[in-house]
Order: sequence, then structure tokens, then C-alpha cells
Amino acid sequence: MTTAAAPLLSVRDLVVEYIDAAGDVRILDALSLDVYPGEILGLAGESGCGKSTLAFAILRLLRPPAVIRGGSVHFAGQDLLAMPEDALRALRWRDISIVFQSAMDALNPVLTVGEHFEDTFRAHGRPAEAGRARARELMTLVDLDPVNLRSFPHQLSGGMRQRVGIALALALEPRLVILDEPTTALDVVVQRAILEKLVSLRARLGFAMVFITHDLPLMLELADRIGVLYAGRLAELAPTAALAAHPGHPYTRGLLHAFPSLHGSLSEVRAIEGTPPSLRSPPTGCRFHPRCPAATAACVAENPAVRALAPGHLVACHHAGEAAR
Amino acid sequence: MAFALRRLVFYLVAAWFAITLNFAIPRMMPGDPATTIFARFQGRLAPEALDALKASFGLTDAPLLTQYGTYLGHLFTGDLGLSVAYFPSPVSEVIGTGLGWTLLLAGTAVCFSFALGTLLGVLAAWRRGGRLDAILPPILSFLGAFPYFWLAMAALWLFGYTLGWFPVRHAYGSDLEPGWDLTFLVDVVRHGLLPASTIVLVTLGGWMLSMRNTMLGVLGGESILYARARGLAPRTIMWRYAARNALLPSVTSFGMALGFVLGGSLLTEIVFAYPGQGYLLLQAVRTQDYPLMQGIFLAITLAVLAANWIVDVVTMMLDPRIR
Repeated sequence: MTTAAAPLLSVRDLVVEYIDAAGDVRILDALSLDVYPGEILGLAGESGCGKSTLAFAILRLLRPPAVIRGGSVHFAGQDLLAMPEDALRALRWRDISIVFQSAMDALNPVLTVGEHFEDTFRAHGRPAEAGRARARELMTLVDLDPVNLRSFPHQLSGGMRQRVGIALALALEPRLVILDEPTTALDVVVQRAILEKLVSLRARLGFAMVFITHDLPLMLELADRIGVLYAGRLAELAPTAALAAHPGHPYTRGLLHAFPSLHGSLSEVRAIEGTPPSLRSPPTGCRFHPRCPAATAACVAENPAVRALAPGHLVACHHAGEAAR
Repeated sequence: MAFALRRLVFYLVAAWFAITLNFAIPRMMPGDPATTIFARFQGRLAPEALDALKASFGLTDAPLLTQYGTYLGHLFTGDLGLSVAYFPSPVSEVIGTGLGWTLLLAGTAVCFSFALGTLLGVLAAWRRGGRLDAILPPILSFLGAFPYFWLAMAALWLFGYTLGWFPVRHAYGSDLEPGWDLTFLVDVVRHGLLPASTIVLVTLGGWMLSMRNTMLGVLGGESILYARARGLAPRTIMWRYAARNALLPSVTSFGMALGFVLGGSLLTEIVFAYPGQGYLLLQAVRTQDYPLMQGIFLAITLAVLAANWIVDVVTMMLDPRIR
């Protein structure tokens, strides 16, 4: 894919805050990124860095006390933040769908799988008869027996439920599918099978994916580009190969070292010292500086702007690209 | 369906147990109605009268097992003995009349209160912090906090006695002959409206608040977020995804409330002198009408069991997880 194409989804300076009596907490701080048609964009970062918040903010699905305070979200040229609620409701799922982390919690326990499909089709004005045929087709697509349309969520295994989540996400042939840690709750064998299915489906159907996970090695295998978030800000965004070979941000380097490699020795695994900062009283300057081995006075004083290290390789670090890393 | 039958068997066993207790308890207690009545006359009755009294109450010295057999036999033929207070009406007939009035008054009131309260709870939770949610819960909690008999008497005094909008006693005017004609039905409604309203008034808040709170919990869950993400219409989300799931605990409480309608409307019926089951029970206790008391206890027990079974079946239909 070429980055010269117009982005499908364009997020600019998005600010999300948590309303709180003791002072509002900024969860996403001026976050910008693009998603191009048909690509897989991985979003990585520790828990609480704002990955999922971003996913739900895009479709204006945030619930109080979380509110969007600024910035813009454009999808195929339409301003999602300015769109009337009715128009946005029609766009949800038809253009952008989401696979939730836990289908068990997401599916309505008193409705059958089939009824979830029916409700989805009905909400978007699709005829019921065609919808039923399409539901069977989608179940087959994710390697499930259409008989399971009559099952209730609790009657399926965790892996089957996630497959149902994927089938539902593809129901209206969206152009963008957001996957919010879709396999985190599954064992590795099932996880592998489901991811392979997703990749082959994307190759066939051509939708773009935003893949949210804290599993960076998994992302290195799947994603075309990877964005790394830290404490509500973008730390680094680069094509996968570039990010793996020349990580520009010390946090990205930390994440890459935090997982055991299949080939190296276990001693190479290093945890990143410290914990993510409290968003209630974030550190001054670069939010990573208290944990950064290479922090200088400039890092404490000033928030590093996002800049291009190479074409398509964005990084927010004062010292990125310097010889001594 | 297998579930419903399994529960039915369970409740039949429970009913048998209750019936047996109903048989055993009076026999284990010291004294009997005949002796009590005899004692009340302080020796002015001849000793032979005691035997006559015992015979009329059906008290025999037959072996317990034989008595139990006779008891069960009479029970299945609907023979609960003769009422003392309403002599010579059979207990089953007396209870039948009382049951009808209680079901009409308390049954209608409890059903209406449940339906309205639940609806208000759904709406309040859906527009959390809205006008309905801000105004109604405090008012209803305030009303629900009064002792029921006090509120009922206050209503009777204000609307019945002072303003004269409603009749102050009985289920229908004494100048009317019961029948299916319009005059009679209108009169029954006029008599039932005030007592029913007091029941609704004190119970409405409970239904509304419990539904509101459960619904808020459901609304905060992932399945609602998922429904919104799929672009479902707000109306669908409100009823099919939120209200339906939040209804389950309320249905359980509703079943209990229905079961207690028979015994629990005692205060209403006393305050409004309404000829229902509770009023009958009071009469039975006052006049030491043992057969009637026993019959009413049995009816209450069976009603609670039946209501529980119905709730089990309804819950099963609403929640596939317990099938």
C-alpha cells in the first residue's frame, strides 16, 4: 500500500478527558494518526495508555464521564465529530465496526447469535430474509456451523464467541474494522487460528484494520504499520519493519525488549523500569522521562513534538535519531 | 419444558410438605377448639357437651395415620370443613368468596404497581438525571416510608370521610345485589379504587427504584456499548437490550409479591373493611374459627408456591441461561 493514497480515517489533535470533581483528567492528548484503505495499523502500549479510548472516541461511543474535548475525526472525508447522531448511527457498523475484547460481555446473554445478526441488519434497513442467508454465509466465513445461529452466547466456547464477534463485525462489509484486543482472553492456539482467519479475510475482503493489543511481537507479525501510545500521547508511528529495525523512541525500544525472543536468550528480556504515570498529574515535558534511561534536562522541560524521523516514520522524542541511543 | 416440569415436581413435593404440616401442627399444639370453647363457658356446660363439640369439629381419637388419610381425602374433594364464624357455610365456599375479592383488589393493585413502577424505572434510568429521575424517586420513597396502615387511614379520612369521593367500607354498596350488571361493576370499582390506590402508592417506589438501579447497571455494561456500536436504534437498545435484561430480578420479586397478595393485604382489608382473605383471617382469629384459619393458611401456602412456580417458568422464558 502506498501512503500517497488519501487516508480512510484521519484523526487530528484528538483530546479526550475524564470529567472529575478534582479536575478533569486528560486521557488522550492531541493524538493524531491516519489509517489508509486496506492496511493493518497496530496500536500498542501499556494498559491505560488510551488505546481503547481512541477506538471508542472515533465512533463517538465514549460514555460519561469521558468526553471529547477537541480535535477532529474524519472518515472518508466526513467529519464524524460534527455529524448528526442519526447519520452517525447509520455509519456505525456499515463503515466502521468493532470486535470487542470479550464477546461474552458484549453479546446480549438473552438473545441468540442469530438475533444479534437480525438486529444488526434491521438497524441498517436490510431485509430480514436476505439477512438470514447472509448470517449463515458469515458464520461459514469464520469457520462456524450456521447451526450455532440458534445458540445463546453462553452455549459457545470463548473462541467460538470471538469468531461470532468477527462475523458480526463483517456483516455489513465495513471499510474499517477496529479490533480491541480481540484475542487477549483466548489461549494461544485459538488465538493463532483466529488471527490467521482475520488476515486471510482481510486479503479477500479488503477492509482496513486497526488492531489494538499490548502484544507487540504479535503486532510485528501482523501489522503494516505500528503506532505506539504512551500515557495518552503518540510516542512513535512507523511501518512495521522500520519500527522493529530502528525504533526511534526509548519507550518503543523498551517494549521491544520486554518480550522474550524465540531465538535470543532469556536474559535479553528487560522490563521497562517503573510504571506508567498517573494521568491525573502527568510528568512535565516528555511523559516518559521519569522512566527513560536517556532523559535530559530538555525532556523534563519540554513536551517533544511529533516529527518525522524518516518518511512515514513519526516519533515524539527530543533525542530520536541521535547517534548515541 | 423439562425444566418447568422439574420445578413443578419440586413445588408439588413442597406443597405436600406444607399440607402435612398443616395437618400436624394443630395436633401437636396443646388444647383444641372444642376444649377452648368448653372452657369459655366456665363449667356452665355439661361434660357431655364437650364430646358433642369434639364430634362437631371432627376431633377423634382415631390413629394419626387414619386421620391423615381422611384429611387428605377431604382436601382433594375440596372439603375443608364447616366454618364456625359463617356457620353453616363450608370453609371452601367462604375462602372462595374472600379469595375473589382479594385477587381483585390486591392482585390488580400489585400487578398495576409492578407494571407502572417498572416502566417508570426504565424511563428514569434511560434518561438518568432527567426530570423524571430527579422528581419521582424522592417522592415515592417518602410515601413508601410511611407505615402502611397510617397512610391507608389518612387516605380513608381525607378522600373517603372528609371529601366524600369514595365509599369508606366494603367491596360494594349494601343496597346492591351482586351480579354482572354495569351498576354493580361500577360500584365495585368505586369501592376498590381507594384501597387499591394506597397499595399502589406505597409499593410503586420500590418497583421503580429497583428497576431503575438494575437497568443502570445493565446500561453501563459492554452489551449496550456493543449494541450502540452496531448502530441499533435507541428504542431497540432501551427495550430489547437494557429493559429486558434488567427485568429478571424484578420478575422474581414480582412473583414473591403476588404470592404474598393473599396474606399480605391484611392491613388494607382491615382498614377498608374489605371482605377479602385478610379480613376473613382476622374474623377467623377473633371467633376462634379453626377450620377457616387452617383453610386460609393452606390457601396462602398454595398461592405462594404457585406464584413461585409461575415465576420460575417466566424467568426461564426470559433468561436462556437457566434453561
